Amino acid sequence: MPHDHPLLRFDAVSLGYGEVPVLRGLSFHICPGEFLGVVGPNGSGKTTILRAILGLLSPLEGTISRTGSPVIGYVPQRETIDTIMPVTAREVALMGRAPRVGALQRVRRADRDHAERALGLVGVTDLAPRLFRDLSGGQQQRVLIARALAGEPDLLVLDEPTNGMDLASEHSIVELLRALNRQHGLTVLLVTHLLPIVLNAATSILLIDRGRVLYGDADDVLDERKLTGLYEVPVTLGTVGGRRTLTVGTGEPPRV
Amino acid sequence: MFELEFMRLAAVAGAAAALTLSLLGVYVVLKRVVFVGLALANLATLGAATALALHWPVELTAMAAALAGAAALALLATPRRVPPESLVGWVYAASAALTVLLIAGSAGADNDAMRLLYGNVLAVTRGEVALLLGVAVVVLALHVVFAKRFVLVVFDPDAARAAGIAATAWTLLLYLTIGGATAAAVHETGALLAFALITLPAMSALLVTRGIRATFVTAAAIAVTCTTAGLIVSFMFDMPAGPFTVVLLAATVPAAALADRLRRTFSAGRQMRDS
Repeated sequence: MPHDHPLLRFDAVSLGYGEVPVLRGLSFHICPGEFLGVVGPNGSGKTTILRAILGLLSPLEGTISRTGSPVIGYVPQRETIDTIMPVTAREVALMGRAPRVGALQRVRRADRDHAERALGLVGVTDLAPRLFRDLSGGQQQRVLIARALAGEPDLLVLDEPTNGMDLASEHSIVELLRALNRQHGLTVLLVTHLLPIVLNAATSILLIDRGRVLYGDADDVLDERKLTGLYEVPVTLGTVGGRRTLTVGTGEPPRV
Repeated sequence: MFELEFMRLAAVAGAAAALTLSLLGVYVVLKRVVFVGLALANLATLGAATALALHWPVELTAMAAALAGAAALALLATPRRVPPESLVGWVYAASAALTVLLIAGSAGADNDAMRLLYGNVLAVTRGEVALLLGVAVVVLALHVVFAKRFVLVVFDPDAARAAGIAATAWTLLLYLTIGGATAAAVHETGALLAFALITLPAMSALLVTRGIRATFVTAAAIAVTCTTAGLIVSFMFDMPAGPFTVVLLAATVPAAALADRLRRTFSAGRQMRDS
């Protein structure tokens, strides 16, 4: 795993609210071109890590360092956005330019071009004039990713981007992120409660479960013995058509 | 009727209040905080009642009360066990009750209460019109120049914060402009009409439009038209202008809902024919 110039590094970081730590001694980093999956069940502290990454929460202990003030493109959970506002997909994508357009500046032609390019990159150019609220969950998620990309980020951070989606939409979003990472070199940090989401996309993984942490290269972390130890249930890894698969349990029917 | 100076002043005051409050009302409705408008209108009324009781300048005291309330509503966090709306309810209940207690002790209690609650746009002075216009110009200028920021922090405050934009400060500025505009209008329009101008035009506009710009323009057009029509018709039939205008504004909501239903029906019919 490359360690030379991480965009973001957590060194022995404890995070919490007030004086009460939620997570202790957390160390990980993300380098340019990586795809880091942060995986943990609800309540494990994923959102707390996310808030710290975004600079909205200071560590209680340890240090969070950033190399060269990387621009972070943030994609929040779709459910946190109230779709009552009648804004078009194009207007939502243009909001991504806000950090680069001063409060007193007008939106320039170049800003509109960036927004259009971002919509094209995620494959929703044809949806640009439609109202955001009229789009499907998967389409809305693509528009939110386009908004983050419009800001020309060094790091794309996504919070549970596949929540509430059917299997096809989920697959399509993960493949889009994989393509942005592999083909366009975009650095991606994806937070999810489901390990299978990042199984074939992440290059490194941070697993959190009941205060325990497992972190490293995907090949390193995706080890049956380690995963079985972390989750305390038998975990079997396999390969189908060149892609990793994960099975939980012994395969025997449960005793009732 | 507009050869009469008080009618001209009333028309200008009504239009200025309608324009400002209806534009700000779009944000209030989109943020699902319509009772913030009611709470701020009542706080301004409490400020005016306090000023009347203590012989302080009415407009300034009303403005100070509304701005302080707006800042508190924008910045104060409620305990997790109660929803944020409950703070708005507390402000409304406390300010309304205190207003009644303050004016109950005054000599012309009934007249004061009527004026504070329902306003009297026909009694507006040139100084009050100047204040309304001044506040309208400042508020509208802020909202034209910073429209992008206000739309962003209302649509997705978390993403705005993550992008390094001071979402809390912009939300505070939004609330302060709502508080300032409400305080400037409430002495002339009364708390009821001020609340109606914040809520009802935005509601109607959201029902019939399909874009954020169109929503702002339609809300302003509905508010100014109803306020002017309310003034004219109430003068012709000798009725109180404020409540009559509220009835007109309220009537636009079912009319807009009906128009939206008809549009959807025609649109679905056309799609079926085309396919």
